[in-house]
Amino acid sequence: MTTKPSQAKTPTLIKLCRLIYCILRALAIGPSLAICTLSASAQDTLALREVQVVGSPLPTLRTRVASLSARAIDIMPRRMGAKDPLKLLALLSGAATTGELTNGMMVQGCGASLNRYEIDGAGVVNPEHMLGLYSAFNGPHFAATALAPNGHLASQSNFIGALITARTPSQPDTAVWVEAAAGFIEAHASASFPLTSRSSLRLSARRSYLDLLFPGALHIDHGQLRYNFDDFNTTFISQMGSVGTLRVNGFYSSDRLGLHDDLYDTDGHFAWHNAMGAVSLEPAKWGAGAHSINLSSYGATFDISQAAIRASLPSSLTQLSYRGDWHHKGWSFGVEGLVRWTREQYNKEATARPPWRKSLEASVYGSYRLVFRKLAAEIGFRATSYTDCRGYRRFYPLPRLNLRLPLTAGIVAEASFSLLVQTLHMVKESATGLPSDFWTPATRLLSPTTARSFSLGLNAPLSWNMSLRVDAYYRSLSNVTEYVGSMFNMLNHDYRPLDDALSGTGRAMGIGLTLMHASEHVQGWLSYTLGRSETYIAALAACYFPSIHDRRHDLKAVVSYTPRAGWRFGLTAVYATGTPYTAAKFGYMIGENFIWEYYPRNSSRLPSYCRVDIGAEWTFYHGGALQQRLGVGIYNVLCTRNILFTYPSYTAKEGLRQVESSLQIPIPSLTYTIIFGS
Amino acid sequence: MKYFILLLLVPLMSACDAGRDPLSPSAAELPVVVEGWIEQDYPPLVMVTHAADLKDGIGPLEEYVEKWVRVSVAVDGGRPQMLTGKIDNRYNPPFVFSTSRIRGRVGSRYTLMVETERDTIVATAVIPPPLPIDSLTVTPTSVDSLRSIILWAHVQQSDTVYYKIFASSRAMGETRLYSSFLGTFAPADYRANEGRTVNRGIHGTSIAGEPFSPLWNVGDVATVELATMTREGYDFWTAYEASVSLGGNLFFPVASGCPTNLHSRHGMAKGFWLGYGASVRYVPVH
Repeated sequence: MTTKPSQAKTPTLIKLCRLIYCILRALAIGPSLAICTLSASAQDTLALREVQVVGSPLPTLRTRVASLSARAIDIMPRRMGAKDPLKLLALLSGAATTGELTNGMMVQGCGASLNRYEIDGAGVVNPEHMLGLYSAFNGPHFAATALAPNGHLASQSNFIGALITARTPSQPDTAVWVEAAAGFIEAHASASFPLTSRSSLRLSARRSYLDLLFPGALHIDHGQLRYNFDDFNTTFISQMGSVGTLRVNGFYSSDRLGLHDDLYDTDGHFAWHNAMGAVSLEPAKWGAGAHSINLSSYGATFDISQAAIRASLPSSLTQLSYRGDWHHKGWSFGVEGLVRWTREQYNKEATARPPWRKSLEASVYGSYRLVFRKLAAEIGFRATSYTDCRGYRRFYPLPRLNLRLPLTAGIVAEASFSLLVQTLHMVKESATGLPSDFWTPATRLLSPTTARSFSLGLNAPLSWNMSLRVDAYYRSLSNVTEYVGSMFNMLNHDYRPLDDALSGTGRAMGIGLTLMHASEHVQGWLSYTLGRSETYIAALAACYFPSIHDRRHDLKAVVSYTPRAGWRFGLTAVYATGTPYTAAKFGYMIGENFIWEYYPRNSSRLPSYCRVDIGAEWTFYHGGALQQRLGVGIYNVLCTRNILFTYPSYTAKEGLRQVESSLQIPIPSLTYTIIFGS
Repeated sequence: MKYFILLLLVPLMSACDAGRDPLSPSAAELPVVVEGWIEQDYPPLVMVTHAADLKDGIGPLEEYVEKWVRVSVAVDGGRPQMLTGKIDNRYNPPFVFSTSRIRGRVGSRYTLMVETERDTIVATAVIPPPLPIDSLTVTPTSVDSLRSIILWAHVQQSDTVYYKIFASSRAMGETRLYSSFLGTFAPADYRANEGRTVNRGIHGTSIAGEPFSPLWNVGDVATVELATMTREGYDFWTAYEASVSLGGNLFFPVASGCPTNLHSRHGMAKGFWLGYGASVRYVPVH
């Protein structure tokens, strides 16, 4: 009797991969689409007058970058009447839903201060407006805005979180174009003028006037709030023949929040301003050097007084950087130098102004792109040296690896690994993002934040004009900062906020799915993220606790429907499980007030967040180059009561109550838009 | 295939656990609370209660009073003197422990012992020298009917003595002195050319219905006490003010309790035992 030799069992993981591959291949019917890029509708036509193509001979590596063109931003639903690219990108998978009043974008478990924002490659610090209503990126000014949550390249400046880039047109505008819009809260305008046949100037401005139209609309308890913001952009583009393209960018934004409370005899003035200027030269030929110089400045003011008690807390940050990049065949290499001046927050009423603290960061990088059969790889290495004015020095070797493997039928698999460092900390004294938060450079006491980042991704075109992106990520972080002091510390003579800034470690992991659809009448996406973000600080807890922006489930849908020319309807729906907070465990009476003792930090969850926004836009006049539109929208149309914050309160009359701060009212918007040229 | 499905379900199931709230504390975990102080020339005053589990709600405050406890105070290491419990309607809950045999003296050390069924709590307090109030000035505010009170005193720089303002309003029928809002300060926080604001005290048992204002109504008579205390008192009252005023603040929430200078066998005591060097003045608000 003979027996067949036993066959080696195929490992379960390989079976799993084969199964996924077969499913995707079966679905890959129909035209493939540009992944994660919403294209213009089929009825648009473009008249090309001059075309210049400058490209790398190697394939584009980072298809996991989610990019929104200006046309896509125009099509997708507006937020309170404004085309806000950052708020739109925040609806993709990986970006956590933020409640009202909270500004910043939390991506793949990292806090907002770990992101890098760029305009044409030049860094901008914190381009957000207070109260979480708008970002400071004026949508019509930019040709495209992109979000890259991971897959850091060796050529990129040092940061830990996501890269959010806004790009102006690659070529000078050749025709006059103007767009202006006015709504209940803000008005904005953008215009582009060709100066010569090879140069153009683009200007944008935005200003809010909520106080003017609705005085008294904003209040907190018995205090009246006055809030205004503005932002300005300017871009000069000039093609200088064989030298390349010269680009000059300017950006300025400011927020001003005033508080007056008669009952408490309290006055407050809170403001931040943000400025950036950059000059860059992009070479005409692949391989020639690209150079850019960038100057950015961020300043914050937090002034508050209660009768004779006063605190005035300014802080500021200025950065000057130079960057040069060169390419030769598959090689890329470059240098980047950064000088940073910071003045940390101090109380002007109590102490003398501290001197500027200077720090230096210098980096060199090299990377090589190779293609082996279908596998494309970029192997990079970045070396960063950091020093502050007090002799603190650190050196960081930062390897980077990005892989891309096209499978069949348009399916692309990607993977990345990076070691990352960030030498600037945000000390976050407020829960929502206010000018009480300030930037501080890494020092001997607060080391730079470092991270290891891993990611896997899959892009697949599907049938019915759909595409699917899957992103899995894991990040481990060291030297993350958390502030544990109280606002009243600001009033003390010995106020040293860094004494209350603790360091710890963090980790974030998750998987995100984005299903996109783009057809003639319907564009949009459905995104889902399952994620976990945790922090460990020995002084606060014995083990990891949820980070303040941790959202376990995050589901978002964005749809734009154009039934016929001149009409467009939009819907945004968000559902996310609640963020962590620290709940009170028991209370005891002292001085006839109840004092609460709390459960472990961030061990409870707020209720889930749910919101639906709707909008409609009617182009009631379209003659030649002129368009006029009227748009209406309702933010939180279902009047969902989203709890922002909850705490116990005791009074003799009402006894014990669980008080909840929430937004429940719908916010309508009415926007008139006029566009000349396009 | 079945393993694949199970693999998908695992993260979902573990994620579902994230929303569960922690269990409420058992009765044995609720601490004993001591609110006690002694001022120069006055007898010690101690209130003993226990904490309330929030899940059960908060009933009448009398339910939380610990009446059947032994409270004693020893002066400068001498023999402990028992304090007697009695009804005192100036306080809420209106049950206090005191004795007429002890009067506070500047510089003396007073050791408190509270013995309950579950625990024994010990603490020590010293009375620092008092600082006289030079004057209290009433200043107008942006509201015609409200005034601000500024306290003036010769505050000396020191690393060992800190200050606490207590206040009460006769018009509001307040029968005890309450912690004045933002009334805790270190010597270096006092500016001789600006004085220090005397705010009304926030308390949960204030007159129902009125929106609280730290300012003073015209026609009122304010009782103001400037108390000197040690660093322990400064740390406690600083955390107390943050907890009371910022515990419900959406933008700057505070979710930490108060420190204590009480020592107990089981580490479950909350509150304080402090010595105050006190200076009291009255000012009509006009």
